[in-house]
Amino acid sequence: MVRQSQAAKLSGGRRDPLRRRNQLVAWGFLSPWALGFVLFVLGPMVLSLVVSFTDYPILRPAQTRFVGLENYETAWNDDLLRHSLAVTLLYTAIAVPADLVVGLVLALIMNVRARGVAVFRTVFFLPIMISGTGGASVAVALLWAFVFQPRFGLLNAVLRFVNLPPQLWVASTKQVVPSLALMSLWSVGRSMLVYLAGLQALPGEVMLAAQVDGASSWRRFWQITLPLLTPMVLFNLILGLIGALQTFTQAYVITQGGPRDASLFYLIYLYRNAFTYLDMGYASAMAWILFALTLALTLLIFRTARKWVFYAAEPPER
Amino acid sequence: MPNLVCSHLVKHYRDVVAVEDLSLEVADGEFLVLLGASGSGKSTALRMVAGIEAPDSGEIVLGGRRVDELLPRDRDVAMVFQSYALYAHMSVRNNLAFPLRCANVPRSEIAVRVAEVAEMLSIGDLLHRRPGQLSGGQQQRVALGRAIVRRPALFLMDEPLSNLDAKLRARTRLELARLHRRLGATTMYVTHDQVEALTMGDRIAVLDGGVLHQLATPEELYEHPADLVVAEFVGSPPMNLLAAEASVSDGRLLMVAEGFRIDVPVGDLHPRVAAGLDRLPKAVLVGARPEYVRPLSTEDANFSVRGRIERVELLGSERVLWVDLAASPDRPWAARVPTATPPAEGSAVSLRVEPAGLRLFASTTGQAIGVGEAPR
Amino acid sequence: MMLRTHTIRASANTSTAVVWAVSLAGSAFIILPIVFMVGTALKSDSAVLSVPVQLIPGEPKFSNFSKATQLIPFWRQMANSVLVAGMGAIGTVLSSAMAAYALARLRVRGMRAVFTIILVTILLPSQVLLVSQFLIFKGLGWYGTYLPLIVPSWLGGGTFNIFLLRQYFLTLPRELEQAAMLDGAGPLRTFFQVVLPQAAPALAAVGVLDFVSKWNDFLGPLIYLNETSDYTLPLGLAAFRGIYDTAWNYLMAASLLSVLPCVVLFLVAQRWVVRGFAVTTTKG
Repeated sequence: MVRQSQAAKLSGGRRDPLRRRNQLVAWGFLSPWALGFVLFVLGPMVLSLVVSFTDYPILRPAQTRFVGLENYETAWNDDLLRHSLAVTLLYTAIAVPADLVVGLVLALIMNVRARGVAVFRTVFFLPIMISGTGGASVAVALLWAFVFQPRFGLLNAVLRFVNLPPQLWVASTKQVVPSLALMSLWSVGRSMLVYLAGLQALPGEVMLAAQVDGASSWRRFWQITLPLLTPMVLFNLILGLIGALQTFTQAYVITQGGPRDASLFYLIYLYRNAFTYLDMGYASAMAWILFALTLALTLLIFRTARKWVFYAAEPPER
Repeated sequence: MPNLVCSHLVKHYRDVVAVEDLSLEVADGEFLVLLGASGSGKSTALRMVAGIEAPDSGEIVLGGRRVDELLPRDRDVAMVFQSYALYAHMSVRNNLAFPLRCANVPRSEIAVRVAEVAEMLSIGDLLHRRPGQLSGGQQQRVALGRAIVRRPALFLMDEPLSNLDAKLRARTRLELARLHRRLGATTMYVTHDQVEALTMGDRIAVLDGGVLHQLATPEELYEHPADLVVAEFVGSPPMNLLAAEASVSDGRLLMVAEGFRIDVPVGDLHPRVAAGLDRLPKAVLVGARPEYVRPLSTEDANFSVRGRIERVELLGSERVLWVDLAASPDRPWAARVPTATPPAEGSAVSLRVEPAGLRLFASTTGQAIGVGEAPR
Repeated sequence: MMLRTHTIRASANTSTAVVWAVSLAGSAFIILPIVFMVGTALKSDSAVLSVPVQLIPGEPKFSNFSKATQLIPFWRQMANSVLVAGMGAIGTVLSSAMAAYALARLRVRGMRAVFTIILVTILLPSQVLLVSQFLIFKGLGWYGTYLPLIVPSWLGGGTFNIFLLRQYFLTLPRELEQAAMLDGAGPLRTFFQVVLPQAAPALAAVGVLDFVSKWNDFLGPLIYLNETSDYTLPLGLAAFRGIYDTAWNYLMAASLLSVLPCVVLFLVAQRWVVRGFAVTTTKG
């Protein structure tokens, strides 16, 4: 912050009183976070890694023994673990792109300045008011459990109303994951709002210039609007991805992982290993496996992001 | 006896020099103005005295104490910001009381001092309001009040009038001057407006490019600018300037340029200018304030300055003639004339300069010739 | 707005129709389940399990609401939720604001490293920490209490919040803090009396969002809470379903009651939430 110029050296150097004070003050303000970071993030990460190399019977801790990579080997051969990973990835592959696209389309449509649009915007925001930005709430899960109910639920009632065949929804091993993905779309308002904020921040003059230049609506969208929205897309993508990989509440409440493990999300299986089978070592290994996977995916996204994300004043490559 | 002494202050930002070797003194109770364009370093200097910027080197002594290594709150300095920096969520009363609370002044005394300041600035009936509900002028008074209530050793003001409209500005200038007389407080005042500087300052420090060009009374600055920077900054319309070749012989000063010839006895010049003629360079800039320039009605052997009137501006009781001179194509010369019978626009005219009003500047350095003492 | 031209330039009729169609279809998708929820909450025991399904019952039974709150210790659990979410939100706001302020204003050595750590932590999926945090809390003797749910908020308040608030603090003009410095205020006083009041919209946004998030937290209470009387509402509702499997009407009634506080909170703070959210994401 303060550069030592030649003159300063001549006068024997100096210490900026503000700077020294700032150092102390800054760390003071950061101390709650620092403490929490060590206690609840760093510590657990290390501990988790260590425990994953052990067999740790929590009821008889004295009998803990070091087993090296045994847990990981078991994981490698565990069909159910592979299955739960597949379930989670399938869900992610459906729910996240759907949320990105639908959210964007809705935001574009909601971005007109017409009477009553604000009403629609509030409507899409209702699910967020109910369940928060996390998207997972027991109340909503219970609601949708009944919505999906084959005989008395809303969806099949609607289908019957328009003379379409009723479905099994979450009672079917094939339909359960897509059904849960459909349910996640109910909270599309969150990403829609992020896009809306981005749309409202678009530089008006650039759009007008494009119009004057003779660009059609379609072209304007693809070559100007969309590139300028890519930061929002990235934001929603990362949040959506991390959220989808951590799906727990919906599946636990609605299906308990069923029918016949068809909706056994990774986190549910992990929970089961930790708190039902009390196999802490194995659960820790599971956690680290998914962590590695998530990290890889996230880094991959960031690596490619440089190519397709444009921030404000940069011109899109075409 | 000086209250504030700044010695060799230096401040760099990365590769930009903000303040270069600034030294000045402010006497007890004096109103010192730091005058300069934006980027001249005046605000940086003020902030260094306040303590919100740290100088790279140099010393600041206030009331005999060395303060440049102290935190702002320990320096006994109060500042009025350009944007007022009022606490928008607090009432006016609480804004005024805040610094006293920070200093743990007893409640009863706070009430007394707040009332005193409110009366002084006529904001007594605004005490319960919030800054957002006040006009610009009222906000400015609250900002002043917050500084005054602390009874500091030094007042610092950073362009406090620049957010006011012209009429309010003129009125507030008077009020500030009145306040200063009443309080007798040492004040350092930053502005880019030379009218403010000339009307309010006991002394003015002209800064440009981080360097102090001249520190003197308003009269001195106006009549005897130390260099071109000062000459061009102070005065409106600005001083007329023209590049010419100068020489002295036989007790006469001769200045020549295209369509421009002035030949006057050295004795007619201002004594301070005459005193510097022994070091007169050949290439000079001839300066003359508009009030010393008149159109000639009859021929005068000493002056041959011909030009064409480009524009005539009405200035109330006078007019300003803007005259295109061949030797100064981009800068017409201004002459102040009484309103009565101005020459017409477009007509040719000859000008005469009152010799006592002639000022000379070296072309290479910009320094004034013969002004005398160094700027301090 | 510029995007309006997307719909106006094209043929007015078709595009307006498309806009309306999509808006209405989307709204129906959102609203129907909500109406269904309210309707079901008002159904009698027989109406719930009747075919064809009625959206809203002919004879609404408002007594369902009070009956539902008797089937489980509802009010006790709501009080628990208020405690956990409230204490947690306050802690989050305070500690994340403090960290954000340090990162935004106090530029000192090491800050950059801290900031990078925080950014990375945002991307951390919480699964990794699930088991080991449990082990730590158990070791501390906090199993069965609310402490594992509240204390982490007071020590670091969510890395995303720190990031958001830092963005917001960066937009505040420094002059107020400088004025406070000159007025003699120390760092704490400046923070609490000058900086925080200015950041009220962003703080409210963080607080409300965190409150709602903790209100709905299921996994945390599931792991750490044992006694039914300690349960927060999400646990209570899930347990409800476990016991009274087909009592959908009472379940919906209880659910409805459990979401009302958050909806009210949102409506009250809505102005601030949208403003706080927008300011930070567009600067993203």
